[in-house]
Amino acid sequence: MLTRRMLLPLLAAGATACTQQDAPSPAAPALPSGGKDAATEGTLVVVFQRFAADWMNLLVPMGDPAYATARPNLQITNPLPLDGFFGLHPALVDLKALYDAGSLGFVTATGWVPTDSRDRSHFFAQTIAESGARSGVNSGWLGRVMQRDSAHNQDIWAALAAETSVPNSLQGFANAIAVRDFADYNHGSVMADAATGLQQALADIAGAPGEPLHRLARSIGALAAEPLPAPAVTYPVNTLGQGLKVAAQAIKGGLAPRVITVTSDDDWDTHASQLSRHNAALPAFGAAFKAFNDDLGALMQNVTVVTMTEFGRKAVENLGGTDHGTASSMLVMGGQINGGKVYGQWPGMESSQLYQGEDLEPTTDFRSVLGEILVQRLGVSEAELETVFPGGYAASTHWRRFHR
Amino acid sequence: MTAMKRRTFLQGIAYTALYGSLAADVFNAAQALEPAEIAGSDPDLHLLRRISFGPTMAELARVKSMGREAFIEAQLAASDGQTDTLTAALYPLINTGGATAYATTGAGFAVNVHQLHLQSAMLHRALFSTAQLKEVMVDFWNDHFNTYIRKNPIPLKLDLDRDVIRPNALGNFKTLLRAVVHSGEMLHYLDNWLNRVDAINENYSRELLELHTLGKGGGYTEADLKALARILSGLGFVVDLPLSATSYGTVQFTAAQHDASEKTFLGVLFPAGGGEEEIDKALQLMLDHPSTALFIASKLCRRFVADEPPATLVDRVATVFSSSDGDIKAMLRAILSSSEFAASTGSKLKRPLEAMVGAMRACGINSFDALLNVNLFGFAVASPNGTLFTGLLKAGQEPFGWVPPNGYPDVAAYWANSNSLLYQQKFLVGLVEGVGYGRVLADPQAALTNGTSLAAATTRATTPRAAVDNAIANLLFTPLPAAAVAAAIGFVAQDADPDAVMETSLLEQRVKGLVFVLLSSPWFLLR
Repeated sequence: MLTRRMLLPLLAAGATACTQQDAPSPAAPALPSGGKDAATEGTLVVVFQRFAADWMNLLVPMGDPAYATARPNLQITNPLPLDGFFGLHPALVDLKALYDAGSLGFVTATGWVPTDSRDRSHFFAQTIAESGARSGVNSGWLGRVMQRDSAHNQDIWAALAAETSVPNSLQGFANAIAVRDFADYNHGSVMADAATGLQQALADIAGAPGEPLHRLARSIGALAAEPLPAPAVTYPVNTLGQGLKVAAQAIKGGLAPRVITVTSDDDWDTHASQLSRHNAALPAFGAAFKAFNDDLGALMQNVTVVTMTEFGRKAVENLGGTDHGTASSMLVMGGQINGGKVYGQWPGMESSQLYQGEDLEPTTDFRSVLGEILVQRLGVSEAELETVFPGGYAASTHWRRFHR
Repeated sequence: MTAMKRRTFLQGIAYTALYGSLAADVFNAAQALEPAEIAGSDPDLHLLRRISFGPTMAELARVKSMGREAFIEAQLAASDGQTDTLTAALYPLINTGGATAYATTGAGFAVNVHQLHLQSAMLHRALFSTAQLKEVMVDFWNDHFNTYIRKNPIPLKLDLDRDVIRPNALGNFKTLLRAVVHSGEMLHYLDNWLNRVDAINENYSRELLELHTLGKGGGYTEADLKALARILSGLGFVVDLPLSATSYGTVQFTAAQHDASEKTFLGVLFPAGGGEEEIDKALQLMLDHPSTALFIASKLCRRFVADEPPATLVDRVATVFSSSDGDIKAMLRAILSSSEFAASTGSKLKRPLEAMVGAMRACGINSFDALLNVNLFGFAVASPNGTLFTGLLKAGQEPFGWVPPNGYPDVAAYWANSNSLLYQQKFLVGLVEGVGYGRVLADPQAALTNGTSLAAATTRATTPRAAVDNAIANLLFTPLPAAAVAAAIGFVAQDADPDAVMETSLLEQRVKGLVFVLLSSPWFLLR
């Protein structure tokens, strides 16, 4: 029986005529690039919880007596205990299991340490969080991570946005590919595949405006080389589950992505009806991390997952929900994470301890969490870290040291 | 990967082998073009690309005969009663009150039929309405005042679109803004119906300032935002669940839920004891604020001119906003007649909506099928499983499907990504299977002479070269570089003589690949 794979040498011949770009070899292991030691080069998965997750309702400060006062209606009265002070929302049983197994931990009270960078606009706060600085940069922090090594420019899958579009964090790295669902990369018709080839030729003529089409044609060709493995587990049906499924497929399929972005669009903007909305959304949120962890199995040794959100929500409830606030928390997971702990410093919820009398005060700059991972797992040097996150906020002196 | 038939495989070898050599030729001949060069120099085509969901040959002929200025005026005044009637006949729930639609359709299941009617009506008008600029502006304001179609299971969105956005889309911004503030849909979406003296909710206050009027950095403080939240407290709507179809969603101000304490907003004192009149007073302050004029002008210029619009133009349009007291037509005239607009060819990228709808418009709408609501090129529009629906959804632009309040992005940096383009392409793969080739292959001059109806078979191309020429003229309206034309002719002719008559079914089959390529090429995707 003839198969698509047998057609590939022909397609590849055409593609190389244009670009000298070969499809990745099917069974290729994750290759080190830029001459770095393979052992220090893992894959980083960044989950962005869009529209401000109320982490106080996920990682509950049950040991702070001011918590119940600030949240008479919203407080979680039956959290899953973690360390005596913090507990998890009872819907996050899957995260509790990963925590107990030592593969997942948290950093509490994260945000912008410099007060002049704090902002309660979703859109502005997302933009600067993905830039990695309030001013002085013109690209995304992951874009700068990728820019530092020119070897990545030759690699189609080095930076993968496992979501609908390429996020601002990858701005500055033109080779980022957005994939919502790998299965759809098969056009299902020879005519269309051939036309994609012709289109690549036309995109060449078009110059810069044709570049995204060109990348698309290359990635279609590359994927046709070898279908990616199906997930070994069932992912929950939410944006996070879909994104982590794509991320796992890329890792398991040997595409060797260095950074992967995923959006968690799980109803975080809870100005109202927070309890019922969290009860509905959180089980799948936790299940997505468990599915990813189980799907990758031993491959998790080389993978690190970190979550971020643009700001936390107000310490004090507005009756049924929470308005925009300041500090939040971050989840870290992976084979090299010393999990089963909550890192960082709890700032307290007495009104005198709150930022502007109403918000949780950030005690760990989120960039130091990201910086620690970049140095420990992605082969970024401390000197390079300063170009990724200027201002010294990510320097090792600020790290919470959650790696093994 | 699935196995395929031997015949398909052989066909594939032919295409790919051909493509391999052509690609090398084209690459060697390629010279990088600037976007403006790709977009071409036809100002009539440029105008149509910006003020419609996609040029058609008939519309282009109309601009050329009327002149651009007259055409703009006609579009500013246009309505299309025929399409409105047909749309309402196909999707009657759009003319039903939101609460009534909910109560009478057994809605509340996974797919709500009223949502489908609203989404389908939007696509139907974008495809067919001759009042294209109006539909573009309806889309623009639906983004500016975005609400997510699935947040409220009771579809007050129907009422917002019909009673607020559509009648004011080419009217006055100040009227429009006030109507939005007094719409049940917006008050629900941004939680102001829960904003009460004992439970102040800042959600609407923040977005009203940041997204709807002054804009981020427009001169308001966090204290202004908190004051506005208190000013807006008590403004909600009748919530009489279980539902009374007649009154749910009716906007009302409840004095007992209003924070009547003293406030200072944008430097103006609101003395203690105020009530509903505070809202009108606050809206007036916002609407008269120079930042609002600048912010609305910048968004209009971003839509019609460039992702980063020239500041000189934005300033002039802001002046028009102020001098005309918020007249939307006056601002559009200023933009469309400006030298900055004329110089902006090739500076906008089509979003998936414009790309997919524009592809269908360019190919020629099968209006008979549309009339019967059977399909459009074989795709049901009014179906959540329809190709246009799923394509837009997966590309990231389902009608009214953007969740956060800022509306769909209108910049290439967001949409020029592999995922959005992939689903545009997949849509095209389906589209080319259903295209009526009489239209694509017709002699463009004959098609113009005879209106949009298909001319006699004698006007259809019968050779590869003529087929390519006609397809380019009918779909792109602008010439391609010689190297691209050569690549296209080679693709269609393969090893046959490009000037010899080709058997019709074979010619059409090969033109399918060509249509796919042309409609997913930068020549088509620039707006």
